[in-house]
Amino acid sequence: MAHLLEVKDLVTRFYSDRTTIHAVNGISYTLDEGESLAIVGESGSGKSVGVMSLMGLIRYPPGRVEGGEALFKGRDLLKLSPSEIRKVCGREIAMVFQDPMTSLNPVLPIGLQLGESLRKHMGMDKAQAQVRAAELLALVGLPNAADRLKDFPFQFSGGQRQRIMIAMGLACDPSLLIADEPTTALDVTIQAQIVELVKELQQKLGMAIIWISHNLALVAGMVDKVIVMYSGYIVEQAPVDDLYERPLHPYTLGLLHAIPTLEQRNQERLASIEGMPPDLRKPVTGCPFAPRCPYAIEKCLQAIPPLQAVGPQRTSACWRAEELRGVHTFGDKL
Amino acid sequence: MTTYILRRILISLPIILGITIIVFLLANMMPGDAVLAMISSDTPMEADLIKLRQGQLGLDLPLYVQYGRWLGNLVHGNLGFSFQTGEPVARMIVTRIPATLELMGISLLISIILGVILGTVSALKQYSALDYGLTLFGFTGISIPDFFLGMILIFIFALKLKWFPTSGMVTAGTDFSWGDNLRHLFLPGLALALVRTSVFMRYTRASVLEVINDDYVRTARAKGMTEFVVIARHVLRNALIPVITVIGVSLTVLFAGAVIIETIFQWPGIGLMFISAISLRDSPVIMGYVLVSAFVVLIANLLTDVVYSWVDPRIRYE
Repeated sequence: MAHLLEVKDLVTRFYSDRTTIHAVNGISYTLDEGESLAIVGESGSGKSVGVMSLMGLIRYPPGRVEGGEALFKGRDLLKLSPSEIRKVCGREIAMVFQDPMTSLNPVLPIGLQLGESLRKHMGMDKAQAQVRAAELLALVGLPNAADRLKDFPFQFSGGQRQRIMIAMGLACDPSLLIADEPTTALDVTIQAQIVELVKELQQKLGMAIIWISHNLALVAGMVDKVIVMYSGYIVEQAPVDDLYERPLHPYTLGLLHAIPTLEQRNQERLASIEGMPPDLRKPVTGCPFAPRCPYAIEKCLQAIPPLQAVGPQRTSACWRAEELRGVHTFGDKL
Repeated sequence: MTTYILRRILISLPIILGITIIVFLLANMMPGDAVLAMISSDTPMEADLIKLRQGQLGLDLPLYVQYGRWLGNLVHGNLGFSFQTGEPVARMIVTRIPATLELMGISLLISIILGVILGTVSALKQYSALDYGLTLFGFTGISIPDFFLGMILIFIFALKLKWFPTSGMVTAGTDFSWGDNLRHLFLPGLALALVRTSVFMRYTRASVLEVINDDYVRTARAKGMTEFVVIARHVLRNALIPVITVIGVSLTVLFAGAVIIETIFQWPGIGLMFISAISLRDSPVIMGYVLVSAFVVLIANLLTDVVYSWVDPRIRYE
């Protein structure tokens, strides 16, 4: 069966002040209908830029998609004209953004913002769009949905606004929903509610989901597979349970280390990955993670490790991946 | 909203009163008076005749009595009579204000439309040749005083090219026609509008650049909205909020600028009336003008607030 989305060697770069930012350096992955995928990595790892490239949201200047292809239902998204990509965005691929406080237009009523895509993509008139908008708000669990269409974003709480954003994403019944750290700006209890909501909606509506997060623990319970990104590269890719049980890249190992547990005593320092995130202006000659890696050897500084199969449906970009199998893991911690 | 507007008007009354006191004092502190301004130095007049005429106009009374009289008349809706022509000041204002409003209105309309469009284009094409060109135009426009611009326009378009008349509102001795009127309006309107256009353009550009990278603009693009909808509905609705304040403030500047431009172009509006009233020491007319301009400031501010709360729901008055 053909994949819903097949990304091959995607390269995105930004240009500013005569320097080049190597944001995404040739990433490849696939996603099937109804499947859910998490892309995990720290700030600046290229996870958001990677998906924004697919939707034509990288604007030049300063950014540009420079290579690769992204086959969505057989069509290469990267080759579509601006007007063609606009027919896909919001219709077949929808995106929910990180900060619900700033991602809604502050001076337009939410009914209008919701109705906008319905009118454009579904050919509804104003009245139909408002009826559907109310249904969508009810679907995401907003109370008194129909009465609130004329309200403005500032009249809602952060969690409610993220629900509205999700309703907006679901408006045209997309086959792929991209959630770009939708819970980062929310407090922990609301985070859990939003995660539950998205899980529930996926079961109900059956769309595929790409969930972007810097929080490995958060995505653990809700996706089928995980991609770990570092410095614009995919460093590990695995079905979710395998990844937690036996990470095969030192960076994933470090990320899992960094998850605090309830058993931890108060005085204990939170574990972190030593060193600084990489400077994306410099092209790498070796493994991008090598300077921070406790397992680094001479070879890691000299050659970029290719992403290679290390098990069924899983890949890792580490010269010493096989040796990591013996290292203690944290599967029981979660 | 209505109570808010009423309250604002009530608060403004003492301010207007204060303005009239100050202007009354200033107008009377000028050397000479209406009677002396009437007589020519070539034909000397008997001192007692001057005294008599001053007495008839009430100019020999103490200032506070004169002001009290003026205020008393005002309460009865009477703005007094011109010292020079005896014409009621209220009628003078009413007959002249349409000309001023026409001039102001047209130049304001043109400068808002042009300023917003050019400012938006300039921001969308940031750092392009077009942007630099418009920036140069903007700074030139802001830097040239409108009286000087008016004279340049007269020199080039009226005297050299003879495309437009130098002054007036209609060609003397002809019946009123809109075409003729607009031809006369063109140069003074342009002189008033150019400065404002530059100001609005600069503010619009800065404001658009500020919101163009906001998250909700990206959201709109991610929904597949066309570039026009993204700019017109999402960017401009937010970017124009601060510009509205600038437009509101410029209404009063425009009213003041109209005085100069009307004088240069002999446009028979309220500004021209004001300037000649000053040289003739015609204090009832001066006071009438001041009252009108105080109202213009009041209304401009009120209008700004009302429009502001209309476009920005976050500050809407309950």
